[in-house]
Amino acid sequence: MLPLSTHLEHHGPLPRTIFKVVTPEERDSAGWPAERALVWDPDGRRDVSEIHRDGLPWGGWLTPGDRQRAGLWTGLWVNRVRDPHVIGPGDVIRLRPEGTQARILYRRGAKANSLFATERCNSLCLMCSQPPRDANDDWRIAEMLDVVSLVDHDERNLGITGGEPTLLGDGLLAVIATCQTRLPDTALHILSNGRRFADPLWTRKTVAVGHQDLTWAIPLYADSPDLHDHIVQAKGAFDETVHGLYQLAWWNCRVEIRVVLHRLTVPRLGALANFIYRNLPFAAHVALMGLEPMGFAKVNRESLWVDPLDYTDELADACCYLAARGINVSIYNLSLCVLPRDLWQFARQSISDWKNSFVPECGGCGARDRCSGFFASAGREWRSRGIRPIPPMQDPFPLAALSSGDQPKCD
Amino acid sequence: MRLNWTKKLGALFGFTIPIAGYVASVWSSPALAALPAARRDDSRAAPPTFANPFEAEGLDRFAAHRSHSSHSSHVSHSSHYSSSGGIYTPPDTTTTTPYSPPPVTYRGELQSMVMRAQLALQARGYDPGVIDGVLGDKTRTALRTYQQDSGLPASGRLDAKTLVSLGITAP
Repeated sequence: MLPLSTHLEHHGPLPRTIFKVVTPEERDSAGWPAERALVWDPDGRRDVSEIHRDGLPWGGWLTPGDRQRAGLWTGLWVNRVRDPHVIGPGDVIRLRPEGTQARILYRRGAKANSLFATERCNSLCLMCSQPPRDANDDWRIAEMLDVVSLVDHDERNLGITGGEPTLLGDGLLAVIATCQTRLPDTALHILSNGRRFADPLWTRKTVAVGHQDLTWAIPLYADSPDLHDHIVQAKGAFDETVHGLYQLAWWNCRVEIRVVLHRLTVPRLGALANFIYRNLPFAAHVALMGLEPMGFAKVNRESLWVDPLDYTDELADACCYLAARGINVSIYNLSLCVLPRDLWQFARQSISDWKNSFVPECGGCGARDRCSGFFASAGREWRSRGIRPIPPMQDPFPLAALSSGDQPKCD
Repeated sequence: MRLNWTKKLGALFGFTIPIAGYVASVWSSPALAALPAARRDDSRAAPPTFANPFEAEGLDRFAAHRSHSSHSSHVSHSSHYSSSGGIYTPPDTTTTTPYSPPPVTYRGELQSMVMRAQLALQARGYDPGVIDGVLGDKTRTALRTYQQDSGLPASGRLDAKTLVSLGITAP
């Protein structure tokens, strides 16, 4: 696990807070505005005046050690990074004018990078890992635009998450449009509850942005409105989401359907798979996801928790039912040891690096490098009784994946 | 591979939109009236159920059949989901009806689906190796070649379009 924040010290003027960490070598070619670049000097051996000689207005100097400001440099100087592994060249970081915390907003080479759109949400899901707060955080739009302009051009995936990103309205559209022009080769994956897409005008506006590689990942927890509305704690949500899904399908937008597996959703999983095939066959991908023990999920553990070992039959039926019908299906967030062997082909390494961990049992496991592992937030009470090391084997995936390929890695 | 859902849903709901013009017209849209409106005040409408979701031909036939009915009558219909066409039966989604699990287990079905694909490939002169229901390297290579020859994206996957192209349907 590589956390998304650390502490460091910064000295000197701080005219902005978001910077791109660059190596001295790439600072010339990469095309980031010089004043937003923090020059990365891990050894503290670079001669500052050498970098500074060209007189460009560098944003600052970042040396993880405790080297002090040197040479002619009078600008921003960052040092004493508490956990030096957390920050590396290519990352986009946010400093705090007051205080020492630094947050990594984009990490080069991470399997998933997400922009955080808003803390607001119009649903209140029982298992929400990111409980919403009703505060105006429209400033995040500017932050997202800032980050997008500093993301590597060759980044393959970028996610947008929340809260409910569509609540930002035109602000979100601006972010999507910026991604489209600035990162034309980057697939965009947006987590939304889909309710706003019931509004045809909104859907058309998102379509009009014309992003070339955009997936809307929309949760649907049941085939029944009553149950879905109960799980998301919002009356009418099912209808809006389903309307929204049809609106998106109408425009040939790519949609992914996400189902979180817990005590309330598992009993109707088969019916939901059937509903997806019969009624929402345009779904490009269906992700069946293990519970993330964070936020409300922790509070509602009693009503939500079910050991994955106790729903393997339901899960297997849903996966095989959908896969046999040509629908891409994935299992997220469940370790291989709790899944029957024939479901391994669906399992993905879905947990973002910064919240991914393994348990002591994983030490001697032969499938670890193919396994999702666990959420770092999962305490003992969230561990399946099926967790065990898997003996090393020649081909851990005897059934080559029906639906293998590059699935968006998001959880 | 994605099917053209604009066309399909359009046929199903009885609407057409001039796609080419939509971007230009999005801010003040004359075509907007033709869109299925989100009617929050509606009593709950049943989503369309596809009898054979990936069988493109079926929906096209349906579109042809529907083309003589007036579009406006559908716009004014109490629900854009409802239809008198024979293509779907609205499921009862209004209540949590007691759920009886599917009668069969689908784990074996997946394997038989792969076997059917292997047979279909073999019948078309592609060598999928042993007909064992396992989507192994050999089967995937055959699948890829077949997809290439048929103008499908050569993904090596049994995606919906490929299943349809191989003539494989699922209940």
